[in-house]
Amino acid sequence: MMLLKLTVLAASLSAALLGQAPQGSTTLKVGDTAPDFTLPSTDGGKMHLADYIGKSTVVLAFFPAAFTGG
Amino acid sequence: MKAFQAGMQKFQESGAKVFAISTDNGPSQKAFLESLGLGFPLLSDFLDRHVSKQYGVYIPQYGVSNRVTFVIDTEGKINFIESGGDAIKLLGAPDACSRLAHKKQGG
Repeated sequence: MMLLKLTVLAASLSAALLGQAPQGSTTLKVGDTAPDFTLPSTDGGKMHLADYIGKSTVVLAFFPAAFTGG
Repeated sequence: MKAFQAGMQKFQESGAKVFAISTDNGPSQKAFLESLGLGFPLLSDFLDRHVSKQYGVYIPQYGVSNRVTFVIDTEGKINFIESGGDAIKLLGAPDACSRLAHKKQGG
């Protein structure tokens, strides 16, 4: 029982630590509804995610900053 | 972002719409887009970084978004997530789009 409690404690501690790690982390997971948003686009207009739902697959690529690698 | 440009053919074949999002302001993004000749629009999450926060990819200490790619299906659900180094190499996102396209065709 003690061992089980320790294991649970260790697991929740690692989860807490992982939660703080900035690299490769997101709070969303597969199956979640994608949060809707509207943002200014380099196209000149605004992009509203909801306009695309039901029409096409959407790829959202977040990246740290312009003129960085990748 | 160059990897996305290289993967554009596969994305386009699958009918997926590609958008890149960063916390840069519009003019910086425009210059970046033109310098690389990117074939997809960049979206500016400059104002209050709210979209990066909504998607849980915001890194407050740097004020920028983490490198994470989401593939969203036609029902608005997240179908695939690629992050960190995998997002740079773009290992799975084009395939995820192809799978979704086939699923749509097959009914």
